[in-house]
Amino acid sequence: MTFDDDNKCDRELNEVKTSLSILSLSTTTTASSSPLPQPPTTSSSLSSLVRSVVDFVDDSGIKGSKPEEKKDVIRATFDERMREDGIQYIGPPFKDITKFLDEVTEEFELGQLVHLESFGLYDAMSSIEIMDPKMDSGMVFESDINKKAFDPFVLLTPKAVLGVMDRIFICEMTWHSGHSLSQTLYTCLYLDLLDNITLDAFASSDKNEDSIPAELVAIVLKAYILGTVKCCHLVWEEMYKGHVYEEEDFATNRYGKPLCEDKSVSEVINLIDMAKQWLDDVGKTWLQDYEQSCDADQSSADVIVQALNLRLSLRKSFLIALNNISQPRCSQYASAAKHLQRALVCLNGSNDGTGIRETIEIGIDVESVFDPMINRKLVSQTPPRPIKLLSIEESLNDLDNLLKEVISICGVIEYKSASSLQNYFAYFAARRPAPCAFSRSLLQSTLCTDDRVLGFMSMHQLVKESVLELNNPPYPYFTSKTELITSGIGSGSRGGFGSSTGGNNSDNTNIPHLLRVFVGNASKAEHIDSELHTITKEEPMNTKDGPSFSFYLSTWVYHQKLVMLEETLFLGFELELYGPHEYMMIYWYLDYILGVHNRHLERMAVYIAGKAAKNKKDNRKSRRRQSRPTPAPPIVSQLINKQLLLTAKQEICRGVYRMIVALRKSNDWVSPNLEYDNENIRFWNRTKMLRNLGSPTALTYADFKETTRFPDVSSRELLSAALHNFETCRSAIERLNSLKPTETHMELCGPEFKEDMQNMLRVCIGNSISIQKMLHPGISSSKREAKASSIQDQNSSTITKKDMAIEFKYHPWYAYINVK
Amino acid sequence: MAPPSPDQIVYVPYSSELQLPGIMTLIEKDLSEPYSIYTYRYFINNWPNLCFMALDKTSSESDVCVGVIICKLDRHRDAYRGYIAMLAVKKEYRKMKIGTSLVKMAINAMKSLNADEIVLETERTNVGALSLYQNLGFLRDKRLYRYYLNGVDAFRLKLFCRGGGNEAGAGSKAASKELEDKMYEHNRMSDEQETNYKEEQQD
Ligand SMILES: CC(C)(COP(=O)(O)OP(=O)(O)OC[C@H]1O[C@@H](n2cnc3c(N)ncnc32)[C@H](O)[C@@H]1OP(=O)(O)O)[C@@H](O)C(=O)NCCC(=O)NCCS
Repeated sequence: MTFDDDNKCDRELNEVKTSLSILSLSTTTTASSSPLPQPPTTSSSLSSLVRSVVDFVDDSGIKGSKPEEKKDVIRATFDERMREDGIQYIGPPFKDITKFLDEVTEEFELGQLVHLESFGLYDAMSSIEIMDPKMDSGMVFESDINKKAFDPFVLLTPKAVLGVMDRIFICEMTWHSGHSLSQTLYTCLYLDLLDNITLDAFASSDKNEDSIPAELVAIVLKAYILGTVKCCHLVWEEMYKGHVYEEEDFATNRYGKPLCEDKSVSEVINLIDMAKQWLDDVGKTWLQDYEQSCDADQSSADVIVQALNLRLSLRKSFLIALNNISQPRCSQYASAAKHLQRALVCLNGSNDGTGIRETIEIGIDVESVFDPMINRKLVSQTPPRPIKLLSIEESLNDLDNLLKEVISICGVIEYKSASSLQNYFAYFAARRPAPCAFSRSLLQSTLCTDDRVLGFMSMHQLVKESVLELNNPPYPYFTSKTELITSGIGSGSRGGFGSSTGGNNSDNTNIPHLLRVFVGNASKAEHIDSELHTITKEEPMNTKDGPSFSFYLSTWVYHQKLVMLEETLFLGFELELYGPHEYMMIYWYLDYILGVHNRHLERMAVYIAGKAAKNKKDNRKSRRRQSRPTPAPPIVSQLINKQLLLTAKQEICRGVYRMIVALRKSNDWVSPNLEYDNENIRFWNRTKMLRNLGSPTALTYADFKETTRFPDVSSRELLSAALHNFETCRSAIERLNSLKPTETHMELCGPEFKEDMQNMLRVCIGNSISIQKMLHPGISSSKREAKASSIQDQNSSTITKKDMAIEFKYHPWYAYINVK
Repeated sequence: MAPPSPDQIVYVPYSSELQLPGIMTLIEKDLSEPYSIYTYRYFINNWPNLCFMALDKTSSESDVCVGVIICKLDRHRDAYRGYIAMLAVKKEYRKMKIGTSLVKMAINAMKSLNADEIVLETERTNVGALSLYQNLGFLRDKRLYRYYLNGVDAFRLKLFCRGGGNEAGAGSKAASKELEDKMYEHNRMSDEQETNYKEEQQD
């Protein structure tokens, strides 16, 4: 059990409130991500003050089971801590009421608890039991007291420097993965002392017995750490924009500590360059002598120098790239991509060079440089929970993914069309492993910062292009007169593009919300459309149902809405939300939605083609030119390509649900008996979202029952029909595959689209083979080929459930029913 | 020790604070991090009627509690929502349907109090709990990305106790769906038409 997550936005607040609410002690302890640095002394003393106060009440205000084993613990009393901290607190002096509380609580019944009425679940869960070492971050252990203070002026061997670098890198990536700074980057004890670590300071500390050059720490390691902190700072600035929803995804709390704001990127890069220079000029020679004196083989010095150099180079490239990315209006994405490529080469090596991956064994751990318990000294109300840092391999892989994701994002500025941008977004979200929080946030920022899409156009313009690409409204639709009206749509339609990035695909909570926004848009759009009819003095088309207006905007909104609906339903498969007993219903519903969508585009194509033909005719009349067939506007063939994809999807869905119906008919698909399950209630709740949308018309449970009974169709006939569906899907995909990326708007995600199509094909083929096996049991595959067309023996289809498996191994959205 | 048998087990509702330490010990065994005692009190003091225990009659006083379920029931948006906060069965007593029995007691209690739905969260990797709940009819309502501190995704499971009912006019809609299907088949642009468009476009 954990938090019931629906009040997530309140959570941070509640964590801050924490147990303090009992005391209504509303001091300045707002721990949440204050961008302003605070002097560390104040923060730590404040937190210990808070803890002392909580101590105070928790121990005495409640009766109940208390943790034991407190003997190895030394407790500073409230007063002592105050004195220790040497701080003058404003307000009335504190008074020790421990004894008083002890006395009055004597009267309590067992289990009684005094609390404010507002003390709720969050408070209860974030409360800590004082003096329980697993919860109480304020406890002082014997071992802490005798611990030697960290000495930054200890000389480190090159291997130790490598060890520290790698550990910091692990901390950085663990932070990226969602843990707090206090348990990752901040555990490095050099962090607060970087300014003090100079060659002069080393000289005066006079410890150089081994003649190890102080530069290894004061220049090389320092530059690396500064580079890392600066990178973290740039990442933090991106994340602080708050594009990534769930708080668990990323921790931006800085506990009031600076992240190297006082140094510019170029300053840090200079330091890194200096460090590399020193390594090449001096370090290398020294190291060769040193390694020889240690009886190491000749080459080891070179390997170590290279390992150090690679880490510095990677840091430099990564830092430059992050800095490029942070520039306004995506103006330096191209340069960023170049540097990120370089960073990748440092990481993985290239044909003619080693990468960091091959040098991770060299470093040695220096435990004294890191204090995993550092967060006890920071302002924090949440009890520390032990975390596990990533391994070095995981860290390298995470960075590898991050670099590749960001390189891919940098490529988006090669904008081709609104549709291809939208397709890019969809495939980005589907990437596996799931894109990291930073790249998701970055993609959002790229999509829109200060109302600039990709840094060069407004959201309104993007919407306009998207509408133009879909149904090409007449010119006046987007002139200044109508701008005001249509921009209303623009402001709400970011969803169509951003729906997939706010979360990655493993987060489907976002889309239904956007859908609701869209429903609002739909009615707005219709309204605007009618206004525009008047403004543009549009002549209605004459159709068999009477005059018809075009409704360009509402058509577009409806299209986007259907795209989102489909995505939501399909995502349920990918996220493993549906149980096998639900598959039939979901595919059945998808079949319907995809069909609606297909027809919607169909109507649009017919309308536009009709209009184009009419124009042509008018032209011809006036100019009397030759009578070649009317070319369809490119827009129509784009629509046809979109329809083709919808057809492919719909045919698979239909094929799969028909297969399931067939299996049920022949009793090969047995629905489990689930005690509290009620199909009607289940249908009603699973389709709730669809029902609330207004359009398309929601289907009912009765519809479902009715249309999936097939009273007069045999199981075999259904299987044959399904076979046909898979064949139709295959030919649709083959046609799609023969199109150029520009024709499918897949310019920005060509390989991903190809792979997707390939995977859909696999599902079709797999299912077709299964159907063949069912239709012709006992025939080996070679013979089956020959007999495929003659279905004769009606009663031979006998498979039992244990011979079947439903698999998503080919495609996360489409079931492959494997008949063994 | 002989393996425990089902008829050793009795099910009782929670009745006293004295049972709390036993409950806590049982639950803490399966947790990577402990809940504070306030968390237990929050649920148990507010909804003592939704906490049930399985006791082994033959055990000594101190480890008599071999299974427990802790829940709450309150308003959540427009629903009256039951929430299963904790469920645990002692290792040696698992796979005897004790967990299932406890969950059923809780469901029945919450249903009798008019719950609209019952929810809970469990890790994606907790095969035992997932199949226990799904066997009872719980659905996966949401995937919670990296929900737990160990970075594992979780599922929000939900049992709907209400909905559906009598849908008037459904038949006509069914007909309309069929109609739409027919229209679809009919309307679909023929391959011929499509190639025409293509060729036209090229010249
Ligand atoms: C989950 C837990 C409560 C199950 O208790 P239990 O008494 O063993 O469960 P049951 O005997 O009622 O099992 C019911 C069904 O669940 C499934 N199940 C239970 N444990 C399973 C396991 N380890 N692996 C696979 N399926 C399992 C089985 O399908 C079983 O039905 P079956 O016996 O007909 O095969 C118990 O394993 C436990 O305490 N786990 C640790 C705490 C925890 O995870 N709590 C849930 C968090 S919400």
